[in-house]
Amino acid sequence: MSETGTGGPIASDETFRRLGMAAALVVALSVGAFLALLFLSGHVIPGRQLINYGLLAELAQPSSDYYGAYINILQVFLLTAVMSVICGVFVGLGRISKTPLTAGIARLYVEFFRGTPFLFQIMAIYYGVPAFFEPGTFPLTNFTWPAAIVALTLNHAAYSGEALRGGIESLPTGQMEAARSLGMSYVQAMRNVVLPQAWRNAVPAVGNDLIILVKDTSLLSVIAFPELISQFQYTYSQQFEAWAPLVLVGVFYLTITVPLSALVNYAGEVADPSRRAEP
Amino acid sequence: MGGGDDGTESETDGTPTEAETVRVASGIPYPPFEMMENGEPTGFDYDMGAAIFEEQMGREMEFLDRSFDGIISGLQNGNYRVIMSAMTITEDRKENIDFSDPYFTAYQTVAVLENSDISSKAGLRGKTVAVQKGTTGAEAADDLQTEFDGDLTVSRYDSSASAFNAVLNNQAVAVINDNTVSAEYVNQNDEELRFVMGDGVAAEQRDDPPEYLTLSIEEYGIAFRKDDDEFRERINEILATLRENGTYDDIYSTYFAG
Amino acid sequence: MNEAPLLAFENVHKYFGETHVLKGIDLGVDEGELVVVIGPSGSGKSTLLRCANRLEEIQEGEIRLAGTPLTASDADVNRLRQRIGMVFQSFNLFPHKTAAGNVTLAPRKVRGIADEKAEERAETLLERVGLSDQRDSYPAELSGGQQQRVAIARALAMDPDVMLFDEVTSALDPELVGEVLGVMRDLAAEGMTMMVVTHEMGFAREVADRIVLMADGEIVETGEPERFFTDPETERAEQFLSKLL
Ligand SMILES: Nc1ncnc2c1ncn2[C@@H]1O[C@H](COP(=O)(O)OP(=O)(O)O)[C@@H](O)[C@H]1O
Ligand SMILES: [Mg+2]
Repeated sequence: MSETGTGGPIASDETFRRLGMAAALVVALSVGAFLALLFLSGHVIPGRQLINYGLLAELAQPSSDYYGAYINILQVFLLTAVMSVICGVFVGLGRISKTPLTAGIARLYVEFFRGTPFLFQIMAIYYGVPAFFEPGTFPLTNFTWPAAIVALTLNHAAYSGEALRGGIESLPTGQMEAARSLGMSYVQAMRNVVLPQAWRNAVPAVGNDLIILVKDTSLLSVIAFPELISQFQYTYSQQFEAWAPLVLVGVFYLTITVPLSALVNYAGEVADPSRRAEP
Repeated sequence: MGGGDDGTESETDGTPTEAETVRVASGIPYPPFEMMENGEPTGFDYDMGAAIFEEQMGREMEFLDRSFDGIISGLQNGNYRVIMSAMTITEDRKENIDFSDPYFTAYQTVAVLENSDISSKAGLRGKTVAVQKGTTGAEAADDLQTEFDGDLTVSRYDSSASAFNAVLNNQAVAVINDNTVSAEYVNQNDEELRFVMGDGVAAEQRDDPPEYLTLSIEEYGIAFRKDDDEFRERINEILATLRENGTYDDIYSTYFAG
Repeated sequence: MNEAPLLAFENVHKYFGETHVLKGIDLGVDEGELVVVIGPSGSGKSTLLRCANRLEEIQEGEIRLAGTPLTASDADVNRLRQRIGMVFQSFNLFPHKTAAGNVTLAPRKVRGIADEKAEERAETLLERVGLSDQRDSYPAELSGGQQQRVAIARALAMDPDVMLFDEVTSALDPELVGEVLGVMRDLAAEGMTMMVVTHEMGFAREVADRIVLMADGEIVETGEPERFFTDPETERAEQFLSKLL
């Protein structure tokens, strides 16, 4: 093996690049072939139409229950996105607190909500909380929505809180000290100096979590929340048709997550403090 | 789906002798009709099969676990002789297979809180009912929703336990479900739950309807190939015998409360 | 001259865990006086300044500003800090604010001064440090010398009674040191009370009213600059000065 050679022990940069391209092509072709087979199956395999287009058209009609489910997850997403980010600020601040009690409680909170599955949390809230009441005496008669909002908020506040903590801890301590030395209180320094900068650092992680939040709404199907997966299960059990409702549900999720992901990327670029140097 | 996997040689010619083993297909688990206990199949269907084929006919029974969604094609392919799998007799299915006389009747019933003021089907209008996803109870609720011009909310849960919890937790006023399953819950929680009483479809169609309100009736039958009439008629006779001699009631009370 | 110093350290002890970093510091800085603190690295100079601003807590002794105990547990720290300006080696400008934004932030948020008023004042201060044409620039667009001058303007915006400087030129390219020292020289000439930690001996000798030499958490020697640099009293000071050559 030559010391001056361009090739390392495994592969040269050029070989690596070609391998990467080849792998990407293979994946793209496989996916393309799969989609073609799926959407054109009626033409490819005689008598075997995987997507029932008639049913798909029916399910996509404006009067379809799928829109209600779609609006429901949009609403619960928007509401819990705002609430979990706001609560996340307090979780993040608790995590960096110098008061051991506050920091300890915040840590336990995060450990619990990151350390147990969301499915467990939603069940604990929806089935567990009413169990404290005598049968028939639980006062909230439409508990599905409150349970969904509370569970999603508690869970995702833990993640945004950690993202924000990371954003705060990546700042030089001099920022806080400079602000305090000017006479700002801890709260003033946090609000005006630390948090605005920490936010920018945290935007990619928080944005990533919001995308996961959209997908977590699917787990609400276990508490009879009328969302898209329940709609799919319903159609499937009625019609024994998998692909028509699957295609519809997939498209519905992507109409939320694709724009959201573009928004997160854009916000991440705008927020990147290193871009401040540009005029 | 369903097979071609196991030996079919003895049953493909359609003229079995009395000495042969009877192969019975069942979609395990579907308690209490069919389930596994300590690695052995058991349940209402299993016990009925044993009573019919072993006790009455004196033959061996082989109780096979087959996926329910392919179980009919397996029967048509001759992979087994009959299906005993809590299978509802429907016109659709009758196009492809034949059924024995009904050996089990399931009613769709309405269970509510003991202190509920709902006393009839009409009382459900505008309310929320809980069902288990994909069950005939869910279908009965959908039909009721149509009957009420949409003025009924149907909450769909993954299990019957969750549906009953929804009623205990004030998330729904009633569970619409099979009488057998619901009877278990109502008996276990007889301080808190009760059936809505009154006549329903059962009263229109039967001489001895149950006391509770029935939204629909389903009858389960043993499924046969279309060309197996002789065997089917023999089993219809045995079913009648089992009802007369008390065996049916014994098996029934082993698995069902109500 | 007042009999009581404006900023007074009395028997100040500071520990980091087991490490005894300040071992009984007694020092007074009079109003209008410029005290330069020198000493080898690790001798406790920065810690002394940080204690005066309560960025560090002391374990024994007292620090007073115009007679008010800074270090008392019930002291109004936020109020007292407004009266003590601090400039750091690493500038610590707020990167998300313009030069003017850095200068106006504390007056607006802490003092509640109206935006326009604060802007006007920032204009004056930036002019004073020679940066009136950079008011809308972000820190990342400024040179180190410019950033440090903004940091000085930012500290001055709170009208402090005392200014603390902790090696404010150490992070600068040599050609930028002069502009910052120039601003400090002007401040001294205007009669600002200053406590300056620096390795710039030329500046110390020229501008200081008094030199304080620290070593191992103690004050080894103090004196008029001329006398201190030409005729040090202690062996420790002699050693330190000889190493500088
Ligand atoms: N935050 C801290 N934790 C522990 N030790 C520290 C801390 N800050 C400074 N020290 C120690 O205190 C001593 C004095 O440090 P410092 O005041 O920075 O010295 P100087 O500014 O004179 O170089 C050094 O030994 C240093 O290691
Ligand atoms: Mg230092």
